[in-house]
Amino acid sequence: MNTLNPDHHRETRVLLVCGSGGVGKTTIAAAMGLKMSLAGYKTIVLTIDPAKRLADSLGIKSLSDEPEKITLPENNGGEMWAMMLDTKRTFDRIIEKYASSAETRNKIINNKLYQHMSQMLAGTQEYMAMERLYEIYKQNTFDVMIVDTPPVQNARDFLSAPQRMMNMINNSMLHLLLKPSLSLGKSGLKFLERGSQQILKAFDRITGFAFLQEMSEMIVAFKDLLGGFETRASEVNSLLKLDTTHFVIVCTTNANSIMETQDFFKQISDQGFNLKKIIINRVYEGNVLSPEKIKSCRDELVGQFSPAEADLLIDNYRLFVPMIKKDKRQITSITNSVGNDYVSTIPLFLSDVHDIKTLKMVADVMGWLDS
Amino acid sequence: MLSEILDHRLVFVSGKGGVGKTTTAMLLALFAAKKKKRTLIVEMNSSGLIAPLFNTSSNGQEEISLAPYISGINLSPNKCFEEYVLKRLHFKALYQAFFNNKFVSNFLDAIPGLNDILMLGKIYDLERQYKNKLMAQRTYDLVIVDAPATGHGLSTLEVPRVLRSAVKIGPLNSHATDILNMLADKKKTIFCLVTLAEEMPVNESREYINALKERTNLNFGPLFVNAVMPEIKSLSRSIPSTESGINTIKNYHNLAVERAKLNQIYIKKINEFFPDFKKIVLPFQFNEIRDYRGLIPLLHLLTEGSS
Repeated sequence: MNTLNPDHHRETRVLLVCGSGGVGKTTIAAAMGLKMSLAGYKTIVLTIDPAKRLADSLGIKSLSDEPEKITLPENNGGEMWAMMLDTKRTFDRIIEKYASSAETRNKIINNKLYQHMSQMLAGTQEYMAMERLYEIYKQNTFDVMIVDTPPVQNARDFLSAPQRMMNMINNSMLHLLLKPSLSLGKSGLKFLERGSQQILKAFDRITGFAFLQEMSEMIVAFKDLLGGFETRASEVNSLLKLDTTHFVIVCTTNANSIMETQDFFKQISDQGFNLKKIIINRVYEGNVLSPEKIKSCRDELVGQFSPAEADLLIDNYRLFVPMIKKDKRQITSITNSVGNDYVSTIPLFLSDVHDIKTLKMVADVMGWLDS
Repeated sequence: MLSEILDHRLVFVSGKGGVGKTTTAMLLALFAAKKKKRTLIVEMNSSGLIAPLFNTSSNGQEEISLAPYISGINLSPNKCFEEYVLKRLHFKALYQAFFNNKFVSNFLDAIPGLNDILMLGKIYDLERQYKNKLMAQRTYDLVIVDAPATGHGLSTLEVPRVLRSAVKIGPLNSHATDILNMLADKKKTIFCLVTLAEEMPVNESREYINALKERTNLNFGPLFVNAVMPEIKSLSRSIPSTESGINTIKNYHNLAVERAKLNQIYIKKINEFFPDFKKIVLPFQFNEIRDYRGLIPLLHLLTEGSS
């Protein structure tokens, strides 16, 4: 594979697209996928449930959790694939793979907590996204993988998902619950040491013993998966740090989004991940015209339109001036703090972006992705 | 239509990320305050957007006064957990010994839905909180929740139901039951969704509403359609591209025309998809909203339309 960006002296194999909710991550991930495919690469875009968003942006009806080939408007030897990530099914798949026996597998699959809530385990979505990414990465069938990450309130939630998964496994009271005595029911408690007994008693008052039992049953069943999980979590973690794994942060010019982006940027650089670009989306572009300039424009327009129409045009432009000014200010503020090379903007388009044709407009303004 | 919302004691405002949930929650609070209702705006573990809009900063999980009749709180799951535990264990020392322990907190991190149920539990308490118990006077007339974004994983609002079916007995079960009763109380609670008149938010609202209607029995209020571009006259002829100034003016005319058209198309779809919902259309705001004062023009517009 060619080097995508010679400036960085390394190739991109994985692009993780991050950002808070509603900034256009999915659309941008899809547009990057389209661009790379049109440049001749075999590309896959992965998204998290709900798949509807990516399907929407690609102009197709739905997506499954198996890669699906997207028809490209032109053929340059590249391919574009897309798939959604179904957290529950990924979880099921892992259990299938790592359970030592059919009995263990059934125990987990039939556990009430697992059935209802496996996709709600804190950080699961983030973790499962990476788990599946890793799986596909290992298969080595795609040149480039682009991941539309779940929106997180805090960058930490995403970046630390494998670490938290490992903490939960290695360094939590899980081990206490894993003692087989607990599966004997409440009477089993007396076999535990005094300290742990206290903890469990406290838990009983908080969540109820039934819950605790259900939880521990699930965990006991998970027990023989833990070794597998742990190795995976650390492998997934190292995938994130490879030289060929790059992050893209998407934001808008809203004060809140800018604030979160700066925080995200800091965490990415602090933890030694590779940042590729910060993309500021839906920018009100253009110049802020001086009053003199506006006047001369009006004079020129009056030559072609009625004075009423000329005024309509001018007044409409004036309405947007505060947005243009705000966006210029926000772009400058982010550029000042992260440096020019890392910032790229995408204008607010006239139309909605939700099919290959409109996606191509977005792809076309991402010149930085060209080699 | 706004008054109809204010007939309830608890309002949840939700929608896809970036559609203007916080703006809508703020508008409702400003409207309620105008009617002299003591209002609390609740953020659920957000980065604390509301207090700065009133030019104050929030102070952890504490109710703070933001303006006459308006208070705010930003819930933190950890703080909610501490309160919940203390209510049941009665010993602060016990709480600290066990729950400030990494060993325990790594585990708590993994309990599914715990954060959601704890924050909803806190909302339950806040709604019932008394200013003066003897006089049976509640602290707040109205609690407005700026709820988490829709669209990813299980909705916060579904957690109590799922939790109750997964855990049949015990304190967590009865806690979930209390919350479910609160959510299902149509006299007390109302859910308002915010959307943009654009493809993705409309589709997502549709999926969300259909899923919730299928699985829950929630009381839906009006649908807020935010940031709708006002319609602008198209020109008798097109503008020739000349130099940059004229081009900029031309581009913004095109933008206004096309965006307005787009919004109208999706408003039609919204009417089709949600025939039984009342809709409240909020026009696009051309000015940057730096604090609550930026919302006053919108508030006037809504008040005129509803009084």
